[in-house]
Amino acid sequence: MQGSMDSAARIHVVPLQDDVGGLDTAERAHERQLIDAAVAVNGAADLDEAFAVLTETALSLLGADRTSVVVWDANVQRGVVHASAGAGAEHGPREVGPGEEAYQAAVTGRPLVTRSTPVNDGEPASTLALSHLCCRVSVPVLFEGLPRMTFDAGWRGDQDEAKVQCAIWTLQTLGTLTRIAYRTEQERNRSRDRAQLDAVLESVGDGVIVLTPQGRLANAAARRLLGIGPDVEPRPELVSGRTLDGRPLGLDETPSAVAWRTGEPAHLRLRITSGDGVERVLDASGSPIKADDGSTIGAVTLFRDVTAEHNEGLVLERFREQLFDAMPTALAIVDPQTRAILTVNRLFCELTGYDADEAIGLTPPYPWWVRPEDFADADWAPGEGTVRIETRFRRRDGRVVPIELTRFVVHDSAGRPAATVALISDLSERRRFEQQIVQSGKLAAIGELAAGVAHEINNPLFAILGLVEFLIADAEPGTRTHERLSLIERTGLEIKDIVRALLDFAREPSEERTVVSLSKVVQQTIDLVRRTSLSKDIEIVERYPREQCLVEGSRNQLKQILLNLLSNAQQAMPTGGTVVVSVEQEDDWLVVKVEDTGPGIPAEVLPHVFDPFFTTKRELGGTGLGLAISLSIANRHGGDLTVQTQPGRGTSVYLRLPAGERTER
Amino acid sequence: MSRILVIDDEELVRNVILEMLEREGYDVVDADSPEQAFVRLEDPAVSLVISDIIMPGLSGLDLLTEVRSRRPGLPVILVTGAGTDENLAEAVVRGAYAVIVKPFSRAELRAVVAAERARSIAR
Repeated sequence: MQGSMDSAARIHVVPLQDDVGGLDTAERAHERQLIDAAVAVNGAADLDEAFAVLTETALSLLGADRTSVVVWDANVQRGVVHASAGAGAEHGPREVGPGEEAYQAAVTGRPLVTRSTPVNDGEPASTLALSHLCCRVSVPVLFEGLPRMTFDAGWRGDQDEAKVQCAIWTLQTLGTLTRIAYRTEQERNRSRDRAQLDAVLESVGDGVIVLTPQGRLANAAARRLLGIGPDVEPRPELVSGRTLDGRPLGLDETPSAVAWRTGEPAHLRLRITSGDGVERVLDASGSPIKADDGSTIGAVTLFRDVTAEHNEGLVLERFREQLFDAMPTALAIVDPQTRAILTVNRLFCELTGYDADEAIGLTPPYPWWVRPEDFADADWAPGEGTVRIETRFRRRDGRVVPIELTRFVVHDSAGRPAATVALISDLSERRRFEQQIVQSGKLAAIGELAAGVAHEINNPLFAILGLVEFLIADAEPGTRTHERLSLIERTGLEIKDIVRALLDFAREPSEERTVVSLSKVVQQTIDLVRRTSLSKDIEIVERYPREQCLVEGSRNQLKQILLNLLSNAQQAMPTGGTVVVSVEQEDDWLVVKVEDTGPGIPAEVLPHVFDPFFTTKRELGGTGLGLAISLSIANRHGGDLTVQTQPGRGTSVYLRLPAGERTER
Repeated sequence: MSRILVIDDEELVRNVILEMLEREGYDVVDADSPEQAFVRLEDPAVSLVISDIIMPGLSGLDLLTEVRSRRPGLPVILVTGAGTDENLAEAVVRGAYAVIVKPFSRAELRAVVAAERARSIAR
């Protein structure tokens, strides 16, 4: 570029003169050379070789010091020196920009002659720079009306007008040859590209169909997949296409038709019966082919056979669905971000009473929540690990069921939370079962067991106690042996008491039920306790209603309950205290309340007080059967036994029995 | 001469009962089965029978009936490990003098036997 700005001021355009004088010998030689050049260009292997011939020919014909060919891009923004000859010939491409003569010629589309005062800096001719040239001619070569190349020639010395005109004419002629070279090259490229494209298309495994207004092309894979012979035009009517659910596909619904019509890519998975009768599932993608102006002039459809994949997926999907529904626990899949219900299984619907269609899509608070605070967002945030909650659900019919909910997050392959899985168990069955076990099953089992094993235990126990008794009788009183034998005897007697209590427990009530006065039974029992076992530090306060409180029941069994309750109250207050025993009528129930001022029952003990064999007083001779038997008797009378306790304040036991006939005293 | 026949299939239990009675100064013989018991009952000196209820073969209750038919008036005391109401009721119906529930102490046995002996002598 150096020097070109200086010369720009002296540029003046010379109009092209078409009339060139007659031919002399020199001119014939000139013509001969042009013909040779044309032959050489035509036979050139590629564009580079053709351009080399042309620049050399120009150099020789014009007696120029330098010639070159600049090739321009489509917008004539950027030119590249493609070939040059003569002194200071450039090797390798050089970019030509605005300000150079070639650029001016290309932009105006007309030949340009420039003359300038050469810079003589004593440079040797071999390194001739553009600035050393005195006269330069640039001729644009137009393709389809657009300048695609410029042909330049330059001289050290000034050239007269005739010489310049001759140069312009020669360069234009050579430009025509350039066009030939260019077209030949294009043709060569096009057929090479076409051959390559065809080879690629034929070798790809995916089916390719190209639709243009001129017709349809299909590659080998397309013909194979659609069952169309090599010489048949691949028309869509040859293949019967259907949607996945079997609806026939219209000709305007194929991905290529859609892409062509809308100008947008279209994707479709479809079923086909191919031309040779094979059922296939295809994944097809249609893309529009656009012209330079953006209009759609065709469509390319790519498709592949996904039959195996599809069927496999279908089986898996069905298997998953069935498995999900068959799970023996209620399941809900929840979006970990929005917490929207994604899907639920059959048991979930049964548990909540909501249909899957109603449940799917719901977001918190869900209608089945009873205690939303149990589902605090922090606890639900997608994180690691499993969270277990015990709470209640309200069914659609309003019934509240105790449930246990376990949830965990499933992550996708990238480690992001993909879904939250919630497993919900209905605890009501379990609760009922547990209660039954405790209240009836366990007791009945123990009763049966007791009768069965009592004999087996009592025989050896009798032998132990009998033999120990002999040994004690023989031992010196006060010795260690005597002491220890006594200990064995006492322990054996404890076993005896337990077995005896078990047998009592197992024994069916043999006593006939009569109408008894509950107040009287309570009074008699307290009298008995006062006379026999009552500690002198304990006061018993009695409260009875004016009416006779009649119940139907076994006097002795009711006494047994009261003895138990009084004994417990007394044992709860080893240092003394007060027991208040009251009888009250509450609607159809008679309630005996035994209230002590002991330390109360620890919270961890309370749930077990009715459990058979549960005792905190083993060392005091407790068998752990007192309250269990009392509860059993109360139940047999259609009543109940409950315990209330206040740590540090005392314990109240309530015996509730259905009231019988009321008679005035 | 007053002799007590003790019948129990379990040797250990039988021996303890025997020793309890011996220590009380009674003359005792024993049998480990009802069959052996019937042999011992030939002895006219046997004036009291103490038998277990639960035994293989003939039960104590059946043995009681058999004794009542062979030697009417011979008192029988039954011993049981599982004092169920049914057993006790049936024993009384069949004419047992008493039923003692195992495990019992020497004193308990003594009380029952002594009471029976006193009654027999009084007759």
